[in-house]
Amino acid sequence: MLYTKKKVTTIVDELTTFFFSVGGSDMVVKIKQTPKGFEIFFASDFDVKMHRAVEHLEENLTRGRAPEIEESYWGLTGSGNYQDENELILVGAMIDSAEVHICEGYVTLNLFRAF
Amino acid sequence: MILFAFFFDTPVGIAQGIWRIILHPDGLITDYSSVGGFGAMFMNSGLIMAASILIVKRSHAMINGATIACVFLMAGFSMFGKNIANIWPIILGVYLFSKEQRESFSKYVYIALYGTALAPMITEVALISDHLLGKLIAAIVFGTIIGFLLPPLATYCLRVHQGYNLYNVGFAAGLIGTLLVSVMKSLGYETTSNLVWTYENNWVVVGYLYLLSATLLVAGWMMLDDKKMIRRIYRHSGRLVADFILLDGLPLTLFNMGSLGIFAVSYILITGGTINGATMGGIFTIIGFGAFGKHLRNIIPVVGGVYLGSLVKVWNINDPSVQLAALFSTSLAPISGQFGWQYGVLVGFLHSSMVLNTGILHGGLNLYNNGFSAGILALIMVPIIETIQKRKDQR
Repeated sequence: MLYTKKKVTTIVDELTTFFFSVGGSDMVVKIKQTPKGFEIFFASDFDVKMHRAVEHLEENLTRGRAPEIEESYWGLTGSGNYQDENELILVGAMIDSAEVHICEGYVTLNLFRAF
Repeated sequence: MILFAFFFDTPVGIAQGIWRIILHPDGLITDYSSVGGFGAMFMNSGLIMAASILIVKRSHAMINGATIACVFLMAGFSMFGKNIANIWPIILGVYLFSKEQRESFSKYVYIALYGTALAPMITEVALISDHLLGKLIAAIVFGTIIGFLLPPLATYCLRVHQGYNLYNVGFAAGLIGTLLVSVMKSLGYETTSNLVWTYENNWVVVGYLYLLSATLLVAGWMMLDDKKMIRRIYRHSGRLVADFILLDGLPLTLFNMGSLGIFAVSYILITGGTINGATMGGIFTIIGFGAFGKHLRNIIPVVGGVYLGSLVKVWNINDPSVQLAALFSTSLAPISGQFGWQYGVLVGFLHSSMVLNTGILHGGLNLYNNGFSAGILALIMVPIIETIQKRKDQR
């Protein structure tokens, strides 16, 4: 499979850009390769005034993997200087599952992407 | 669409028209309503639309805005360049690429369908040979070459324009077309310009388009619980991947599609243009992308830019190429949506000049010539606009 690890990199890149855009300043990333795929842990604070933007995170990340969208548009992840929901839809199409926990000003994500 | 075909012609007449369409060169601009008649054109379009839906369904793809955009685009371009014979070699080529990559073809289904932008090249190489076997071999060889080049190039092109060109595969197809035509010319091939165009309006067809658009608009309106939600869709820049069905739901998307259809048809009629196969291709594409990036707020400035260009440039707004430029310039709608209407007008103005000069590079064999031109323009303009915006933000 082409670009398997590159796609994981772009997912993290996209999430980093997103959390910067919602006022994040303290982020933690962990990537673990398992026999079945990649587990990605991502945690970040955010500006509580941007809570509405973060609320849609779970909705956009849990739509289910869409290989046809991924293959057509994954080249967009990690590109662009302006952040909006579109990239999160793309990230959602590139992962198999997502657990999203949102507290007051802090988000933790547990994502899984199968091979 | 298929049933509508019988409104214009008999089954025998339609079959004869489709045969004429298949045998006719398909380079830009070949209006199928002129080649085979409206009956054959609608039948061809209906069959290709059905085939596209079947291919997407068989691939178990999620039905969303991207699907609607693709299917409507296939329907539209089947009215001026794609037919039930010339699309298959490229789809086969992408299929062979997926097997070579040991991946499921379903991952490449949209690339395969959009990749039929180069279907005129298949017709062109098939027509060179006099023998059926020669035609088949030529078509399959070129379809395979295109099928292998397109997927990696389409991915790379996204990074170049960052999603500000909605017709990304058009950009990639233009580059491939330029490469292949250049090699072919070096081996003695001569490009020819082609204009097959119906200049009179058929008011039954106009009525059909308005009815289709109104149906979408009314259906969306009736399904909306809160009518004030209509304005929500205009907040999106439209940059890829703006799937309006996922972002705002089906009712709002249908309303948007209907409103875009009414705008596009009205624009052509008001500016003295013609509703024929080619312009219907543009209208169907706009309607389809009403589910995947386009709305009135981001397309009007770009179309306005093309119109303004016609006031000062050497051509008329109702020239065939300029009519298509106005409709397909909406590929750059995300620039207007992201950076403001003034930049939308600017890129529309520039696009109308650029698109009239890019066709020669691929010999008119890339149907998404506007997508090719838009990709080049986005590559040039987006960094410049972003720099200007950053300076303004710093002040």
